Amino acid sequence: MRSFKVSTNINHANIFKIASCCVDTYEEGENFLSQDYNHSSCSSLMFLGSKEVIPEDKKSLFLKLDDPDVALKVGDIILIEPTGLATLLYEVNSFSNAVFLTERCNCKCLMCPQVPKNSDSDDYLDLSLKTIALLDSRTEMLGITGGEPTLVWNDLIDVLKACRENIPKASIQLLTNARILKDIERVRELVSADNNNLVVCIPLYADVSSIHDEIVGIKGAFWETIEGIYNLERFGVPVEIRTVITKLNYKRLPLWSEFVYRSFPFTSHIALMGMEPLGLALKNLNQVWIDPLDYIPLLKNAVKILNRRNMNLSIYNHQLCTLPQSLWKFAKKSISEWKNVFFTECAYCVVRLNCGGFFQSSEYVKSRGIKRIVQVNKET
Amino acid sequence: MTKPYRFLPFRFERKDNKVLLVNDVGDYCFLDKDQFHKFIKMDEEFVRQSEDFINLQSKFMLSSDCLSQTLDLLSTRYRTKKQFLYDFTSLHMFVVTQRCNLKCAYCHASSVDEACGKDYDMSVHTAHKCVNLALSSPSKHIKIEFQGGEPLLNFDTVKEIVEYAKEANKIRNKHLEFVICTNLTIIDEHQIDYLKQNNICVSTSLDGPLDIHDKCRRTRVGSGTYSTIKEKLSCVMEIMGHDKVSSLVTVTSFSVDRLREVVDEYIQLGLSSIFLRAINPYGRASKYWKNLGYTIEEFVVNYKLVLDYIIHLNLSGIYFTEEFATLLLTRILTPFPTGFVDLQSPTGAGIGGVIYETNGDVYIADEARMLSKMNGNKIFCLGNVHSHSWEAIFCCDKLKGIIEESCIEATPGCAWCVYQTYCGSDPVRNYIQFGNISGHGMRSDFCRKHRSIFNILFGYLQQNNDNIEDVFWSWISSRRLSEISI
Amino acid sequence: MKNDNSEKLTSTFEFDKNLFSSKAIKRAIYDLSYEAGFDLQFTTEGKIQVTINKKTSTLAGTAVQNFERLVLYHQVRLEVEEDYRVIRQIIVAQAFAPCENLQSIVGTLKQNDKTI
Repeated sequence: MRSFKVSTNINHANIFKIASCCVDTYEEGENFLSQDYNHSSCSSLMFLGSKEVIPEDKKSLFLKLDDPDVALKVGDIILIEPTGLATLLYEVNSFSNAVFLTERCNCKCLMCPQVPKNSDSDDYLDLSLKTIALLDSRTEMLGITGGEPTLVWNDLIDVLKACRENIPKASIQLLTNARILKDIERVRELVSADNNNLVVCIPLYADVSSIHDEIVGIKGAFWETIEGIYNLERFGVPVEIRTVITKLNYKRLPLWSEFVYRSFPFTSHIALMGMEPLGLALKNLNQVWIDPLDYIPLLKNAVKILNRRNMNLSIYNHQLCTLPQSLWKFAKKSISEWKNVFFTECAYCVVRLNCGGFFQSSEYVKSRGIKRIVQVNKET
Repeated sequence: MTKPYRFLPFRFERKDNKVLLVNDVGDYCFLDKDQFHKFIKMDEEFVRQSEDFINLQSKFMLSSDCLSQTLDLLSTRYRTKKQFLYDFTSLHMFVVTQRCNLKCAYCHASSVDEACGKDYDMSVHTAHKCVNLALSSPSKHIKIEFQGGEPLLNFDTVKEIVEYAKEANKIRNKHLEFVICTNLTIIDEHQIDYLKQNNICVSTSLDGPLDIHDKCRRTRVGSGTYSTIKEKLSCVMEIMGHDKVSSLVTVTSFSVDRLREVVDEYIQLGLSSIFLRAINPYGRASKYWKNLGYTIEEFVVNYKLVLDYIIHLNLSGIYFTEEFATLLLTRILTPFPTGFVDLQSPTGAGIGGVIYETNGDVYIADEARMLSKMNGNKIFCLGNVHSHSWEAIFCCDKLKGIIEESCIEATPGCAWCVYQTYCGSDPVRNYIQFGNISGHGMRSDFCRKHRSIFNILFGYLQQNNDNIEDVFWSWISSRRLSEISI
Repeated sequence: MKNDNSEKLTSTFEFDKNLFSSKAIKRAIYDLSYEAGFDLQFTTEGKIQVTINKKTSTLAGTAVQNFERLVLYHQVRLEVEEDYRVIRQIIVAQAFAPCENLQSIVGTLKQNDKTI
């Protein structure tokens, strides 16, 4: 989640929602937040513009945003700590908002962009519930992520119930490896807690157990995940299948596509994702990194296979210059706006606005094919 | 010594230097001959180094770990393939009249002259009973197909059945579909309107351009019907929409080597699909077989040629499907079942579809009804709507016996055939040709025809040609090629 | 196998009973029964002798050419089918669950084949 600094004199950590904005446009420079007396809740803040708006003698009542790049909008939710660290828990304009339930995980994926921790204190429930309580009831989407959210099972159920209560219309996207869902009673519990809006996003990295298990570091994970997928389907819960393309599994892409179609034809969406070179992925870079240019024919083949079969599919985390133009319509802007960057090679690229850009961590490694596109071929 | 893997159920056949493998749920793959032998012998090097070992796992030909979970997955997929069993009888064909205004050379519906009296029509009373029986089926989808003779000659009963079925369905709440199988020669605007208002699809017969069509499909005084049908067809398609009309071809000796012209004719008339049906040696056709018939080999050679042609048409922008190929490709390439009663295991006759004679007799298939008309043999009659209950008709020992004997998984020849998962049986045909329900496998025309068509389709699939795969999938998913190709 | 298929009107093949089951041979004969006439005998030396009558049809020549290989492939089929026989029964039994006695059917099958 995105963090920035504020100057503040609050005594303890608290979650705030931006309830109103005093300015229409964001200006770079110093910006302020103040308590919003128009709203009864004391967790409401008002986003103000630059210092010119605030009388000099009233400045002590306000929080100053130390980070000039931060633009906040009505509906955004931030956590502010006495240290001055502010974390953006929910961004109204983002398509990738999620509540974070735990840092623990029951897998050790070689290309995980996080470094899973084994800490026992998972204190994220309170934060998550407070965030959900502040969300507008018309909120359309919220993710649940981690680590592995099913590891803190009771917290997960509480969060689902809170979502059902406060944001009944929202599509809840649970990101999980579904291993624990091989127990059908768990799925039953999940479905009882949710408002029929649950979508479960599950990574499956290969079409055979040997390669998938090698990537996630757990023997037996492949088949446990598959049992979880089937159990979810038994309850009619929409399932999305994802893969991350690495040096260990890129060769399997076409047969993986056929496997996913034949075994899970009910899948509501399939995502073919590029790797984020961060965390464990960065540590294992030599083992996992492959330049997309080296697997484009296989990716194209996989997309052809899935598209023929009328499967809903997307390509995530691939820059348009690395993809043949025929695949552009599948490439989605998947990197959170605050995470994504462009490099010098991207200057004057004619398709920059449509491109998802890079992870910040891509500065460690990126495709040799990155270069600006000067001309787009006409559709034949 | 423990084996490095277990075989999962599959069948295989040598094809030149490759071996085709097909498993119980319809997955297939081609292996080099040498690799196949290593696979069978469980060669260690094969396991350690071979990409084929991993691919065979992916295609569920072998299991090297978690066998129990693999079987769970395969059971689910197997159940999906046999889903038609759960639906039970969903196709109900009503012979609303035996009278017909035409006398087609190959007719096996044993039709009588249209001037014949009402004795040859289905009465309203019988129709009601048949509808009640049809709606008693556990299937959520009920398709009522009007047949004959020529159903338009008893259009009043057709209308009565539609109204009565819709009314009776109000409490049943099933999804009702209606189709009328008509020669179209006598259809009038009032009838077309009625069909349109009640969403009744039209299935007709057009054998090709004039000189082919009029060879066999004539009136009782011997005049051709092509010009009439062309006009009526155009009228019906315009009023009802192209998607509500389909046509099939009965391929005879006059057309078997001119199938391209038949396809061209269909396209010219605005039709976008064709069902190329080989002539069956039943009824009148068996009498005139010397003039009308041809060998299976002749049919198959020409079928391949016309398929090549149709694929070529699709690639040049014309969306046109061959329905039988599409059905088989759906079985080969998708995990889903298909509801084609004439080629299922166990047979679709009786449990997938039944036919009601004008007097209320219930037969397991059209050919069964024809058999009874030909020589009085009612071996495939399950009962009568006036005297038997649903249970007595559909749960009788006779039907169970037929179903048991029609499982090709246990029939010699079929039991080890590489195409078993995609194929099925026709017990009535076997009985007519060989005197027993399970038939004589490789010796039968039925088997040779289907094996040859599967050979053709797998010949295409083996090429791994992107264009051809795109065309096949455009047929299977009913989408234009432009939506599919990348 | 010993075979003798020269220009004569019949061709004879001999199979060692220890290597080829009569079932495999019978299956091959069944497959080719449309194309030629077959006669099967058990010899005194414990071999199985198959005589193909080439007169019966124009396809008989190919039948003779393919017969040995077909027997071989059928032998392979029988061995493979034996290996997966129980697995296949479990798949079908589980596919049509719920049904009476499913647990005991599947249980017995798994017991017979301890590797599952």
